[in-house]
Amino acid sequence: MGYELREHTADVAIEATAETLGAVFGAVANGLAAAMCDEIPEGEHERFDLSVRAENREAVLFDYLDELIYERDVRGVLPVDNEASVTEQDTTEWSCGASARGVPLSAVDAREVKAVTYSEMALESTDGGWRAYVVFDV
Amino acid sequence: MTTFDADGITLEKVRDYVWEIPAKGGMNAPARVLASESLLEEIQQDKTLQQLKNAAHLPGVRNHAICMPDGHQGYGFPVGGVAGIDAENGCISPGAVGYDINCLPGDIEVKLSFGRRAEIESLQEAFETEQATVAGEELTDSGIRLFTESGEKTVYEVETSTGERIEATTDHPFRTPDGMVDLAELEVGDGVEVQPFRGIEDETPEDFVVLTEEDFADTNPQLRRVLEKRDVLPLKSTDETFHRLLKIIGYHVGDGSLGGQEQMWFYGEPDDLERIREDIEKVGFKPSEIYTRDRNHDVDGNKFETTEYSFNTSSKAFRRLLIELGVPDGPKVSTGFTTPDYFDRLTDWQQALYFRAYFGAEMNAPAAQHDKNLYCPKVSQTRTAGTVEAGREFFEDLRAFFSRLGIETNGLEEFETESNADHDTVRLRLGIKNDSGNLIRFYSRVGYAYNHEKRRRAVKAIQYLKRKEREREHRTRIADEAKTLADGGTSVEKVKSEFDINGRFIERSIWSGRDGLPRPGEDFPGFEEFCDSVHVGSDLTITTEIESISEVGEKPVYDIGVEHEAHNFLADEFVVSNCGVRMMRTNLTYSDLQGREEELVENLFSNIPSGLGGGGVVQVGGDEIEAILERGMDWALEAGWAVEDDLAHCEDEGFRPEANAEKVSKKAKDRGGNQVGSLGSGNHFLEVQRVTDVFREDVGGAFGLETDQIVVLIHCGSRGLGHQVCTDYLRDIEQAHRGLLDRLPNKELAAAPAGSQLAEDYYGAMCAAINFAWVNRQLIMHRTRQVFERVFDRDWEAMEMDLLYDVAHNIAKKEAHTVEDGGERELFVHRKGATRAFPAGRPELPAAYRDVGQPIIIPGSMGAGSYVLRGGEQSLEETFGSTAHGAGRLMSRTQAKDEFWGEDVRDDLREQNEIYVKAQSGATIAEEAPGVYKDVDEVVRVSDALGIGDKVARTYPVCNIKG
Repeated sequence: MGYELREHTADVAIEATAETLGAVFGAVANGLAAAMCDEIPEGEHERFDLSVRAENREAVLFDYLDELIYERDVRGVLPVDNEASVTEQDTTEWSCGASARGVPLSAVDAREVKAVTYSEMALESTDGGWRAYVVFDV
Repeated sequence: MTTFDADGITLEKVRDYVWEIPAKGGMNAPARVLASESLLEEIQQDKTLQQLKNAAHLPGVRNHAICMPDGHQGYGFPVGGVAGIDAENGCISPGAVGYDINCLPGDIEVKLSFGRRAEIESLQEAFETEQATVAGEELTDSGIRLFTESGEKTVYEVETSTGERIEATTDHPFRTPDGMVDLAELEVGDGVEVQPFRGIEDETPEDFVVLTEEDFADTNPQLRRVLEKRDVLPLKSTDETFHRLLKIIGYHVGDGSLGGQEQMWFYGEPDDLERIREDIEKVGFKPSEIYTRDRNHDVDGNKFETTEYSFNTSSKAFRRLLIELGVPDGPKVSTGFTTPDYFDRLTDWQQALYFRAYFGAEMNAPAAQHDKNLYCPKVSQTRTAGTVEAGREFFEDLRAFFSRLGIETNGLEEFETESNADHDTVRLRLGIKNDSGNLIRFYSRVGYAYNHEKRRRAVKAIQYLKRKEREREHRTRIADEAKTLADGGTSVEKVKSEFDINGRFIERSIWSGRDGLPRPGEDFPGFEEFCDSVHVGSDLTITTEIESISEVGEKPVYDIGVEHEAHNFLADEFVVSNCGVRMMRTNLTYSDLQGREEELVENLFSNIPSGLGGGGVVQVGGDEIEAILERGMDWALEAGWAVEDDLAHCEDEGFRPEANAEKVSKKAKDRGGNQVGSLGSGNHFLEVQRVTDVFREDVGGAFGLETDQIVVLIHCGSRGLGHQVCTDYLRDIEQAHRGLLDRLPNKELAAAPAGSQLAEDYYGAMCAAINFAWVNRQLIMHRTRQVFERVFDRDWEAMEMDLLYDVAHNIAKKEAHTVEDGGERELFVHRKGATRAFPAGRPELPAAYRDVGQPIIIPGSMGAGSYVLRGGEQSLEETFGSTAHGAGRLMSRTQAKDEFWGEDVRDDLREQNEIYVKAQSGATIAEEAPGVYKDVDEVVRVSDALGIGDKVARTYPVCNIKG
């Protein structure tokens, strides 16, 4: 359970597993933070909330990660300790409510991940819960 | 043949450095890899080749999908990929006007029985009882089996060369000369069959009783029973039988007669009579067989023979029924008949049933009056002097009917005619005005019933007139443009040469003008010639060409029970962002810098924002972001961050006029606000370099490059803003084409069909992001000038710090190129990690380089240096004018971090290579270590050998800063 950074020639790929869909979203997001920053500081940084809605499971994951990248740029923080819960509203609408601790970018040695991609994206249920694979554009 | 087997993908060697993957499966063009064998070995190690093959699936890919020598795996399209995709019909060019009715937006009109039309959504309530018109062997009515609303779907408007428009989803099948084809599989230029008859808007008729038993009170009870048994008594205005009867009596008024005590005769062509017989049978009566009679005529001494066809009915009840409904009970000339007395209570479509049949019998068929003009369609009646008033009433009703439908008529003509033995007669004649628009309205809304030949001619007439009107509009535009050019001072001879039209036409447009629309050109066919050249099917369809297909957005769509299979979807633009590279010259030499490297790298690093959250050279607000997006480098000039000369040496002068800031989301603009003038991180960097080699002195001279000279290379893009634009449109496209996208090999290949609103929006947004990218690099360059001023204590002008060139290498641009068939096409050339490489002579190049070719800047890795090339002579033929963009990665970032330690890399570079590197993050240095890249020398060697980008100079790093 958790995430791992995977080999990808030009970009960064994250593979994550967790027991619930929400937890696997959070794990991918934590992987995203790790792809940007090797040493994430502990601390009492303010948490912020975000929520997204999309038409299917993969799309809501994509939009969630996109939103995190957006929040990172406009808030100037690295979103870490991500928590997410994912709900299927109906077959055509999924929502994700999430929160993250925002570590000021000035406090970390971080590199930029530019965008989330659909390339090779996987989001599937497994015996133990859920598995996600996401490639990010660096 | 030499082949190269790359893990299941076989490449065939075309010639040195050119490898081809033949088009197989869903590939729309072969794919080519331009590489030496050693580079190919490296390229085949990741998914580059598979991604290249995937990209070749995009519809409209022309010539080849191409991988540059520095190609490597990306997302969707490989990095180092080039594709020229037809900007007009490489898109989804579905198309045209169809029949088989499914997945159509709610306001599409459906043809219904009895010449009506209705918007599809209005059928929701009544579909079980409605009859739609379908084209089988001939046009027939068919029940609607199923009606569902299918939610919102993306809808396309298809327009044909004769102006038919229809909106439909991509899985809507259209009839073509090759059978039913889904919209998704049709392209501009394809033939589709249309049935240009539109009919009259459906309207619920007033419900009243037309005939009751009382109308037949004087007849014997048996006759009434006959009628009752056939369910025509009482006859209501909403009965289907009534509508059939309206047609029958309309025809009879035109070409029928009474015979004996019981008979009703109908005259016409055998096939047409057959259709009338069918309607009579449906009402419940039995017509006779069709009789043939040869008749001898003698007109003014000319003797000739004709064959007359007819049939009759011999039911007294039927005869009485028709008379009650308005068939003249006696000689038409003298009975004083008018339109039926209940006529004013009927809807237009009901009246049209009567008139159409009457015209089928009586009105002249469409014919050329004079070459390209058609006769007025006319109907006439002869009346006795005593009953002429009734005739006038009849025509008055007809004129009113036309007028409600927007069809104009000439005044009613009256002629004294040869009187017969018994009475003086008057001939009344009404003609329909013969201007094109009016005739199109008449033929497509009313036209003829029963007479197949006239209906067929009417279809030809509609298509001919539409074509003619488009030709005239086209000529009007030319005339206007010619006049404008001439008014602007262009010589008449020059204006003539601009247009492919005869000179006299241009002269007349310029000098004397003309009243109204110009006539069609001499080459435009006459009506008869047109009729001979086209075929109208027995179901009254005619083939026309698809002229355009454009997306019109999401609309609720409705299905009317037709089974269909969804097919593949064509797509065109795929999503890219817009980083690029620029090089600035100086007049400093390496010796001027030696000993100052540390000071310079520190100054650059602290003054030029880089890394994550590092801000920008300037912080801008909303209005300024808009201005940057709309105006590009012009904004920088105005804001004091550029000089005129910078604009003159930038690709497109630093401005894409197609940019549309409105199409860039707020989210993207938010991200851009604090990143104007920032490097970002990853492979983006700023490098101070020294020129180590100049391979072509003449070109080097033109570029202002010489050995030992110091130059500055800046590699970055449109930052978060550009990425957000990509992401936003990727999602929009995904949603707009959901289901269809699933059939492309990779979701990242999401593409908006050219000509669609989404494609236009995306192109506008992407061009805006390119403007932003130029401004970004400009601000970094100008800040670099300021840093140099501080470090070297001289004005930047004195150090001749001038822009050599700025060129994007992640971009889609509309350009004209030669394609497979030798013709020239406008393409969206997608360069993803590939650099435009135009040779000398292309008009797009800045004046300074038009004679030598475009400068190409190929950044290498930190330890290997970079290259300046110029656009090669072969590039247009081989690669849509493109070459490589860098060294190309070999190793993943994660592996690089395992293999290298940032600080070690930095120290090694300084100690062994005299390269001073400073980065926000040690990990970035490890990820960008020289060893993770392909050999840039080999990449450039292949580019040079292929003649797509010629080696001009090589540079080597001195100072490097990155995120």
